[in-house]
Amino acid sequence: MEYLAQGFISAFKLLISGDEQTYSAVFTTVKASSLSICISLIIGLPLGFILGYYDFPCKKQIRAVVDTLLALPTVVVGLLVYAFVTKKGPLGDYNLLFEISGIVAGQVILILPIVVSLSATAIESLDERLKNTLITLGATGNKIILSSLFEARFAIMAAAVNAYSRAIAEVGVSMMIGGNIKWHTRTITTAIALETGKGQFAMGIALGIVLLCIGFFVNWVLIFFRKRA
Amino acid sequence: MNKTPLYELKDIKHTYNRFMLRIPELIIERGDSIGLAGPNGSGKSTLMRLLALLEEPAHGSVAFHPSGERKTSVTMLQQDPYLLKRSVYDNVSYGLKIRKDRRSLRERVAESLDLVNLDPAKFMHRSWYELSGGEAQRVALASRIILKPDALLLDEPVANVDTESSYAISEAVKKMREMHSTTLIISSHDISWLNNITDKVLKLHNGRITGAGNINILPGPWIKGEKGLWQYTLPEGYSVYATEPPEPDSIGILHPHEIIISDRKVKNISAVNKVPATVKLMVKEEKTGSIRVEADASGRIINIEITEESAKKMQIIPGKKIFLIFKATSVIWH
Repeated sequence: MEYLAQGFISAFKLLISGDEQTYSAVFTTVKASSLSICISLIIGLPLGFILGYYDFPCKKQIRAVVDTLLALPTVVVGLLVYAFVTKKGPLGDYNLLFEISGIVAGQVILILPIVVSLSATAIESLDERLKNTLITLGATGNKIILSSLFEARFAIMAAAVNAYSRAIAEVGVSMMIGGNIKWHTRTITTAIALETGKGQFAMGIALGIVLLCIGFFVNWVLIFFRKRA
Repeated sequence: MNKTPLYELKDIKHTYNRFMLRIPELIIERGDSIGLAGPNGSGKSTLMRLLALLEEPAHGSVAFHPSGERKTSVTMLQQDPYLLKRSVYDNVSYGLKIRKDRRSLRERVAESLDLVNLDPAKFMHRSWYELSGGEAQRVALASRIILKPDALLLDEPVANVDTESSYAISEAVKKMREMHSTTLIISSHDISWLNNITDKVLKLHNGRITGAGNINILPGPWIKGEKGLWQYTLPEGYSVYATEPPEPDSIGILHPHEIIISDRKVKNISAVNKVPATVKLMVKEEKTGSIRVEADASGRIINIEITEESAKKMQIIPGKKIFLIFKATSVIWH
């Protein structure tokens, strides 16, 4: 157990001293996952609204597929995206492999179902009286959509936090698409996997602490806004 | 007041639940104040939804002639109103904001809150969850009043609120009409309240407008009895007799002024109906000055109108056993 305690002490030293290698992985993780969540929200919220608000043919089947994709293994996404972005693949010319943009593409595929499914559930859970209230107050078209999304804001924020947490914690996509390249595509999770393999527990623990702190911070923001509202 | 039609309903047939709303013709003029009364399932809410333009009728037409934009000239307060998950200020100003009308917004919100007897300084920044049921109802009403619509529809506005809120809502609605000549259409179970606040009360039964005022509805079925009379059995077994209906399930209408109250069973009179009843409620109608008596006649509430003098003379009080006397020909057919 001594090596674990030693690991924690060394981890704090690394974080306090501003170790460049550690912070490079932290910034790469935050950059990739923040871009992923932004793109996923832009695409996923309208889709979630449509899925939750309107009735259309095959809605149940589409919902079942989206819900199934919630459990998508990260390595499967990594494998699929790799097949597309490798030089031989259909998107090979875009040079996404071993780039942060490639990680972002994979993470978007990974977390988009979370955003769509949970925001659809949030919209479905809205009070039945809301639509009539908005209409009788004079709202039409986009105003109804935006006001409904705003009414579901806490559930949608929870969906976003859930999706962001999955993005920062995933390792499969970052490893397979990013390639774990030092100073470039090395994320917190790929660095932990590498350092643990090398027996460098201190850096692994330090990065693990940062990962937990990010998760805690994101959830705290959600709690803060809920309390404020 | 400019008396031009605001609504013209023609040949409406619209299914709701297992019933059908049938309105051959209904004209509501600008500035009218109309009450809709009737039991649950009579079609009041469905008619309100059609008038609020929330639904299109399955058959027939609802012509609405607003002074401004069609959709923004009518607004409805639902029975159990929904407040947006925002502050009172944001709720009341929502309708104006989406119309991009931001002139003196704060002052107008304050005026609307004042009108529903809520202190703006105290309530304007409260959140939706910091309000009681009655306060929420008043905030919802203020959100509609601020829009100054041509037609304001209120679905059971005082059904679930305390006396203070009920009074505040009544006063706000009256002032709204005085100030802006708003057409009011209000549904309620509370006939006395409706009589007080509206000019005319339409009674609905099984999806049909059966008449206006405090009429009593005897829905049938009617069964052929003795001496050429037809009988309708009241819920607790007593029978009412009438002349032959057009159909066995025709709706019989009995006007309150056709009924005589007696405190004892009278013999040797031509009226065949002498129905024992118990006085449940007595209300002085402010507009007519008469006393409206609600009596439980074998499980059905019957309205009777008497003068204040008669009430005093016969010592009519709630709980008193009486007899309702009326002729078979007093029941007319809808």
